[in-house]
Amino acid sequence: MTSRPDGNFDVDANEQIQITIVKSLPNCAAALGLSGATLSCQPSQFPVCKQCSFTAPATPSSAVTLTMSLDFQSDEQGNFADGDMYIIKFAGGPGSNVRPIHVEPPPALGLFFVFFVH
Amino acid sequence: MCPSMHSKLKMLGRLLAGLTLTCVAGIPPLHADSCITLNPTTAATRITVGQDEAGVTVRIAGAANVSGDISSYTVSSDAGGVVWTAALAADTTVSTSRNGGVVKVCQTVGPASTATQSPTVPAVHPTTQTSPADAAKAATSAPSAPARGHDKEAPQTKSGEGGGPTKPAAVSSGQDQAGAPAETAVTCAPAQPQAPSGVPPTSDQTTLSDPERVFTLGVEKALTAKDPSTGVPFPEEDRLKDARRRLQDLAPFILCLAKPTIPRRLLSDAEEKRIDQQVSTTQPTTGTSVASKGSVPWLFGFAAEAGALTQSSSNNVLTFNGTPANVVKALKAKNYLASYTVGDKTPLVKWLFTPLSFSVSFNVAQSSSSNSSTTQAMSMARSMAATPASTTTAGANGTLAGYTIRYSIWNHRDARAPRYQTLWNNFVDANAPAMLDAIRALGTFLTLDPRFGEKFHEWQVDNQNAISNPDMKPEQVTQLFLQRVAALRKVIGSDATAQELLDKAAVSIANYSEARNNILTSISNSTAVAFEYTDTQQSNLLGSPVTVTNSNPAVKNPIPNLSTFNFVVAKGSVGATQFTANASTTIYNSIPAGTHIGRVQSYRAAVQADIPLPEITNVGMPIFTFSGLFMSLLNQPLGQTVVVNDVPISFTGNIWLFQSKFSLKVKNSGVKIPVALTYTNRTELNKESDVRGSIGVTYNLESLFANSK
Repeated sequence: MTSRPDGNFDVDANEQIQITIVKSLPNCAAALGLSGATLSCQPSQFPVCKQCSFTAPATPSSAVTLTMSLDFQSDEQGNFADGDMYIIKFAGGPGSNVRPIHVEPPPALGLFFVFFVH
Repeated sequence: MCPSMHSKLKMLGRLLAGLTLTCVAGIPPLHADSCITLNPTTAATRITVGQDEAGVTVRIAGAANVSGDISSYTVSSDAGGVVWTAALAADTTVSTSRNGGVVKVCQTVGPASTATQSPTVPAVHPTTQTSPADAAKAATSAPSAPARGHDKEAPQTKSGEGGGPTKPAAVSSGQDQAGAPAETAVTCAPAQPQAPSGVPPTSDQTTLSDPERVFTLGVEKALTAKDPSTGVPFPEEDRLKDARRRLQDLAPFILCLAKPTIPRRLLSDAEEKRIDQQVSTTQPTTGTSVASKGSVPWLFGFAAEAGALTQSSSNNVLTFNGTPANVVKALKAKNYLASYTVGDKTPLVKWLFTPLSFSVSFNVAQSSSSNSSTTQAMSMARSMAATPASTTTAGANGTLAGYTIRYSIWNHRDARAPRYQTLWNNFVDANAPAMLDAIRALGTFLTLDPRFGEKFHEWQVDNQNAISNPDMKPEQVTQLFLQRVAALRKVIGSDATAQELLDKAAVSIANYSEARNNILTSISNSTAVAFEYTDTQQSNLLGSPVTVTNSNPAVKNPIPNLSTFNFVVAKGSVGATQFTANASTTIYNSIPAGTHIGRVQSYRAAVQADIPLPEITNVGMPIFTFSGLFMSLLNQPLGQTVVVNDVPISFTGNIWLFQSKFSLKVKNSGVKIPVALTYTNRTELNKESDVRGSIGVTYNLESLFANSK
């Protein structure tokens, strides 16, 4: 898996992709949605909010689309905590090198990623 | 068109904000190949340009000079400012350019490409003519008019790019003098938060439901992000990459481009409207509050109040309150949110220290008039002459008026509490999938549909190249967002399928956000129960010198202090109204010698309803409070017969009062200013009915800590 200039990813056919979402402060509120492949998630415990994986399709030129919502809790005044952030880690097969993404408040409710199969 | 008005405007070539002009005639078509130039005369002026099938709409909020070919425009006004409207003739395209704050709107006959190659910028008023370069830019036409134009202006490509995908310039601080990207951007319509029925939008609802605001905050946070484990800023390149990732969040773009009829709730927090916290004094006879509320500030609060409730004094009381355990926890954790969990696993901290809070009240000034000293001296003299023994006392400035210790028996109104993790998880599981599906459906359509794939890819690439300066100012980030919204609008064009998917996604985001708000509201509306003990230094609270009489010359009785035991129950309700009930009894701390009174001074019952009203824009949230109190005064209010300003006080019996109070919770500050009007059938020290006003200011220091970066 490699990053593309458009913010999406190129993946190999049948490549196993892992997505791990970690949060710096308690109360996870992350969600994932996938189409084009089957998302499989394991139970996780803070600070890991989500630990999921999918296998890229075998068909070249196909694509998998992923949406992600990362919500944050605010305090009584509606302010978000300093230092609160999600860290999204994408991992693929051997040779993949994708930098983790840090997402700070306010919530990002519609992060959209495409995995293009080659 | 209104001819007289038109000629006047043309002659003056100037328009001031707030001018009420209304033209009721039909909208004339724009002249071909002409421009108008709008030059703001104040920094606060906002000019937006919209276009739809009917024509072009230029909205000016603020003051601006308008010049050029204005003959085709009609002028009207609404709450948002002055509106210039012109119909669009067939085969005419409209382009908009901005140079600093100056906006130029041109219409050109023929397709966009023709206009680009042959810029023609006639101006009726040569003095407003821009440079040739600007003219060329201004004449660069937009793509064909989009089907909708409720709040958007025609997207503008840069000169020389024809009608191809927009190429956003990497935004840097030196891009132009005004800090705005050279490319024209649309103005995303202000979000209209759709609060649950009866719930007024809060400050943060107003703020965070605005896609521009959310995007700007997100990018700004990313550009200044620190490693949470070390507190050291991330490397610059990482911060830039994370900021660019923020452009992969489609939610703000979707809401900005959705139909105006769709609720644009992006985020909403029920927190700012919290009105359940007791900051003012809990002394039973003073202050502006009839009932103690269910919660106290998590850290500190401060109140200054003038006026009393059931006594005839009108002294000023300063109250400082706080929760000591939370102060220690906050200092230890060095982080406001993290501090919430410190000590949670230690029973002593969890069950004893954390629920405990305190308040201390001081008498800071006595009521006085210009001749008060004379009056008081005469009063004392008469009292002493008339009685065999007397002691005169009055609260001095700065004396302790009393203190309160409060134990929160039941209070789970803070959404940050770990106990709500499951609730939060369930909320996300129930509400996020539909939203993610809808957003993904749109993204997938734009990615994979051959009509959009390439253009959407270009848009995404441009997004990733759009941020190159880690020192971008918020206004630059906002401008960038609007620029990218304009570019996405161009990608989508007037395609019905794409628009339908976009609108569905917007609805799903609004639904998610509303459910989120409901969760927060339900948390803040849960029942809170507290018990408080209040010690009242009666003599220090009295605003006038008090002379205590006693038949035994050898006995000098001070006025006994009081202890009040108060049971507080609070519950939120529909419309964010908070109901509070108090039941209390007050006893004398000592029985004056030579008197035959019982230990119990009084019983009280109080009810209060705090009703938040719709927010006043840029000011804050007003709260209207109704409250009532019944007090059964079993013994003399001051424990013995006293003389206050020549009047002997020895009344017992029932007292009831009704209070209406208006409080303004100042936006984003923690400050609340209460002004109360109280009617009572009598006071403790006077048998006559009484109407009195009281005013105060309270400050919840919690917001200060929460806002710390």
